[in-house]
Amino acid sequence: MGSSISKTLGKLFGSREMKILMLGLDNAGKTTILYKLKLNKIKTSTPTVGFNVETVSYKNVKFNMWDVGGQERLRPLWRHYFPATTALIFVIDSSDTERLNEAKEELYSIISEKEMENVVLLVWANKQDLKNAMKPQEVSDFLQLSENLKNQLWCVIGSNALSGQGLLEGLSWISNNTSKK
Amino acid sequence: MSKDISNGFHSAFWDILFGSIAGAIGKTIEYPFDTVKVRMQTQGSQIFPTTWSCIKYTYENEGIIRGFFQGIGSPLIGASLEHACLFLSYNQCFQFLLAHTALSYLVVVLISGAFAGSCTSLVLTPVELIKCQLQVSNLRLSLEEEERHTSIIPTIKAILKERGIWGLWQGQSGTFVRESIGSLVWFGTFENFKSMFLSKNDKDTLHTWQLLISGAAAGIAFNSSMFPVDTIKSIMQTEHLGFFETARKIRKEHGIAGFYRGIAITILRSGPSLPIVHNDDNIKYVVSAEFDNKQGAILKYQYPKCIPGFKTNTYGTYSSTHEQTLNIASLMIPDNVERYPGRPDFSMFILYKDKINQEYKLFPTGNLFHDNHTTQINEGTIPEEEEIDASSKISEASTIYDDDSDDTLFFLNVVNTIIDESNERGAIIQAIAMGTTMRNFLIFKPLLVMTLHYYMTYPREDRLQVLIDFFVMINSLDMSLLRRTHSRYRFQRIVQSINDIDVLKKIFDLNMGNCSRIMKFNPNTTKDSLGNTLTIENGKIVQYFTTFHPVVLSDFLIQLPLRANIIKTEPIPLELNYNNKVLKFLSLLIPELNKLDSESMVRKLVINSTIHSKDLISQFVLSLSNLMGGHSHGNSVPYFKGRPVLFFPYMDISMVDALRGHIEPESDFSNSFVIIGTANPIFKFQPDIWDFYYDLDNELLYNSDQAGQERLTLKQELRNGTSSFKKLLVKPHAATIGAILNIDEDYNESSFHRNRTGLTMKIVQYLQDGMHDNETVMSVFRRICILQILTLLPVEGDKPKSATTVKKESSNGLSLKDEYVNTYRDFVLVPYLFDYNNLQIIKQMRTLVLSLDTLKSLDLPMTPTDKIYSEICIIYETLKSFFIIACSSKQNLDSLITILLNFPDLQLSSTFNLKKQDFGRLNLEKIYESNRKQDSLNNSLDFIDNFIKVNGFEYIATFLSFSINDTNTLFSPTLHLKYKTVIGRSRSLKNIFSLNQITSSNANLDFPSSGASPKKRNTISNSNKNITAGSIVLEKRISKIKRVITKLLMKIERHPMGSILIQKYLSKESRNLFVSFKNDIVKTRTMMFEKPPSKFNSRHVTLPSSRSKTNLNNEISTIAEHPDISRDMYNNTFDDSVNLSMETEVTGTITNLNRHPSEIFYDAE
Repeated sequence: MGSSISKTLGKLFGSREMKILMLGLDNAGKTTILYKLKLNKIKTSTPTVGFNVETVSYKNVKFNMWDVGGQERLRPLWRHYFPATTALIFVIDSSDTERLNEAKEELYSIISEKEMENVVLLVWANKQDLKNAMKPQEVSDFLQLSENLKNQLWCVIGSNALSGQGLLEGLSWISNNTSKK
Repeated sequence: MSKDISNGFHSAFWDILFGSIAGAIGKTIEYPFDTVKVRMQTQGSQIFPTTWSCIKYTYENEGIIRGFFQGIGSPLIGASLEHACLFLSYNQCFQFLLAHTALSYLVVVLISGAFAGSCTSLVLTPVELIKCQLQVSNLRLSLEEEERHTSIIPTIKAILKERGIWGLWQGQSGTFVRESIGSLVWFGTFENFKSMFLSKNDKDTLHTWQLLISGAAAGIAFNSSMFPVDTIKSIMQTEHLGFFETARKIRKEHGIAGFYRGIAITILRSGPSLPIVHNDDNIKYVVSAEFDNKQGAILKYQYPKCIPGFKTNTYGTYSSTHEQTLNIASLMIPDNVERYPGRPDFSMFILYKDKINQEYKLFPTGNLFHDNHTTQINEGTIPEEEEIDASSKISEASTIYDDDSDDTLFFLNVVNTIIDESNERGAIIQAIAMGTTMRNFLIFKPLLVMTLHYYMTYPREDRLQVLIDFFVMINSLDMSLLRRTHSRYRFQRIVQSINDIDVLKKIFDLNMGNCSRIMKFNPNTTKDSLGNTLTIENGKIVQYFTTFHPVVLSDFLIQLPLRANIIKTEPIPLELNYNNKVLKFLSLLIPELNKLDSESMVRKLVINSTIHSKDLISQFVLSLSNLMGGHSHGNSVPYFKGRPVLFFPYMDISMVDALRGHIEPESDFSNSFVIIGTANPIFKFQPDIWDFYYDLDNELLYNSDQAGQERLTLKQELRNGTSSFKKLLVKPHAATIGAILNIDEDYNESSFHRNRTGLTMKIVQYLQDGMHDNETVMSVFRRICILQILTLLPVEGDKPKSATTVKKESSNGLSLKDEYVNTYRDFVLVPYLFDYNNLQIIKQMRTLVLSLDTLKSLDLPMTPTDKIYSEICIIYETLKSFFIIACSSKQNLDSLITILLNFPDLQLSSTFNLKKQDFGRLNLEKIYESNRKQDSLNNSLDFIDNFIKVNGFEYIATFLSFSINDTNTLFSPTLHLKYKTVIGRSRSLKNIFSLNQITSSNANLDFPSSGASPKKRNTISNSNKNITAGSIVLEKRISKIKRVITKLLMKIERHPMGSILIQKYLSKESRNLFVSFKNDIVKTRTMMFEKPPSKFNSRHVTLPSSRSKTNLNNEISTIAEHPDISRDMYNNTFDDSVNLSMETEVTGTITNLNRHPSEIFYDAE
């Protein structure tokens, strides 16, 4: 009953709510992105022990964003955060070319999970401000998503957490591509 | 001459060759012993307290080759050099001295020896240096992360690099001293023995065995004389210190014995171990962890060794195969700790020992609880046997709940984040946890947090030493006094039951001696067995780290004393105030429990908080464990149907899968009550692992049922929606709740059950209104528990019926505890009340109170004497049984006092049906007010105060003021408040009795008096029909009761705390009455002593006890008004015999009781 009311109200006022899971290797900039979106501030970053969760409102959509630590040891725990996820944001450090393959492997192991087969996938090619950063297109090519993801909506967007570049763009892409559901 | 010389060279060559080979073989045999020696010399007593422990450690951790023979190459090469050098220099010197001086043979030998030794020392020092370094290198590897070398060449290279070429001669002074003086001793002894044997031999040569003995003797002389120097040398070479510096250090740290560490293995090769200088009982393990920027949480150091089951590899990183180890690291670095840099946070976790493979586990294994089930259930069952048998009636063995068990380790963990710009991720997150079997681990909190501070700020290479220092520091204390005090659970129960601070102060006043008497310690103790300063102040045991000297830790730390409460108020003492959170939670949970059917009482509960500290979450969960009477270890009380309660003070998401496996239907724990604390709201999205999810931040309880989910979404909307939506939502919200509450309206009985508010719930609401300390809350719960138990217990009068009920119940396998849980939907808050003897006392107390009530409510002029008489008989029997209980054993006396202290006002159970009544709408304040004719209870605080003010002492003493000669009142007006109501309509008993008196007959003076049973009542009424009972009988009976009461109170008074309790809990009037009655008894006995009539031989036994009573009397000020000469006389005559004879008297009394209950109380009249 409650959820029906929520839906009715949601239709009335055009407000939606969704759970978004933000993953990626350690030091990719997930937490910085989260707090840039939430507070429009750069929080002095420390590695995330466990997770951060914040609600970010954008265009009448409440993004319930879960940012989970990306250290090697924490990655097996990601799957516990899968239930009820609408969109997956995968953050990549575009300047860390050495670990790009590692990131790719992790990404594929996430989206191959059954629980994640219906989520939309947004890849933020982060740290575009750095000189040696790969361009979003290069990242996209490297990930080979177009070849491997036939049934899922996906998108690679270049971002810079410090300036906020590409962040709102990403959120509106998610918002636009999930509204039908 | 030349031949001589060539011969000499020739023999010297063979000397050297054979000497080297022999030396090498000798070294190989000797080497393991040498390794052990060096390890013991260098590692200090905290690591290897005994020779055997060193051997064991080396074998277990490093194996034979790597452990014992590490670095043997160096001495093998060294052996030839050494021998060459030694014998060459010795021979040359010997020849030279012999040729060019006129010294005696022996002096020449000695000088040559010394010279050879000093030469050899130059060769020996580098050899020994490398050997020593290698012998302990494995040890360092396992304890430290830094790489050490395990073979010769890199070691030499490292030394050359670090200290240059002279670095090889580190410890030269030590070796020099050892070798020069040692060789002197060696050759001296050797030559002496040789000449001794030579003089006995016929020939000029020696037998091999004689040479061997000479060598051995020389070796022993060498080692024993030079051992301290050798120790110094070993330490110099492993720690790079100077000779005298090292000597000072050893002396300071280990005393003189430190110089001789490892001497056993050297000289005797085995033998008695050195005295153990510390115990590892206080804490078992210290573990540190950190958040690795790449990997996540990892374990760093474990000291003194890896926790069995949690192996880390050499460098402290995790081994990916070992999930448990991963979990323990993530428990130590809890979620979101990085958010509060500079603010240390605590968490707690528990490890269970698997009895099969002796490893520790995060989840208990099935065998852990197995043994306890049967005994626990039996204990709670209502016994069918009602007969009093003083010897066996109340068993002394009741379960020890608070026993510290080795099978469960409690870990207290402290974690902190420090912002560090030099770190690539900007912060360092580290944690230290200590594992102990002690339940009151919270006392270590300040020390642990300080230690973490040092750990994080000290340079890397000192960090392990910080942990070692902390470990040794805690274990340098002898905390046995505290443990002993806490394990005196009967004593603990009594002091827990006392709410009055003044009384506690008196009990813990050392000058009064009660404290020391109870705990059996010398109040003048100022040192523990390990020499630390120890004091007892205001109910606290305070210990100082007097004997411990830190290596790297600040001295500030050892100045912080360790304070621990003598009273252990809860199974696991915590700092959490129940009022804030726990009561709120209970008030939400209990109604939910009421809705469940009886079979699903067992539930899984997740408590989450993202904003509160992990400390609070852990303590919250542990406080629930305290409340449920279990504390998640082997001896915990099974909650329902013998199933254990499992607690996870803090759980990480990484443990979820393991948890799932653990509570799956096939598991031993499938039906356990599981309580989990966490700081991750993602648990809410895993509804399969919880039935109730409690959001501690918003104080909301969710049920995993569909209805609960509805509520969950609604709540989310409430929180997220704007304020205008909130209004819209309020109504549906309420409606939803309504719907939840009335899910099953199918059958009335259950829906009534589901909706009612129980007494506990009602009182919890009262408790929530005011601020109460945990002791108050617990004493309220104890009283409620007694009330509830009483409702379940069969009533005394209808015995046959109750017996069948019991049988039926036990055949259903339903123990009283289960019945309790089932009926009231409450937790078993006070498990010990379900002990057999406590149940008996509770039952008897009820009988007593009911009889007193009946007596007071009788319309006296209209009541036949036999009615009064039968009530009085019941009272007599009950009190007599109390006296027997009190006399039978100390344990039982303790139990009796505990129950008396906690006995509630029975009004609530007699007026209301606790099982069925809905207390929700009742105004208990009003009811209390009207029933007790009290001053108005202004608020709930007053109500609670009044609720816990009641105790059993006054019930016992009530009858003291009963008087049939008093024409105005049955009970004196100054009695317990409860009886105020009586005053108005009291009648004169005299009138009634005067009617009956005419017919009274001496023949019936002795009524059958085993009283309480219906059968006896019949006898009484029969005799009444014959109109034989009369006021004389009655009077006699009353005076007997008064004697019993007095004796019972005297017995209680003799309890170490008794006189204080009587002083406090008896009203002034009762106390005065008691004192005067006591004086009568004492006087009578005194007279008997003065003129002992021959026919009363048995009374001799009672004599000394009267003296002891008098002794107690003196403590009570009121008695001072009646100085008794004869009493004083005893005071002077009997002193030490008293305690012994007291016991004799008691035993005597009991024997008497068994034979002829009516004869025990010798009437003075």
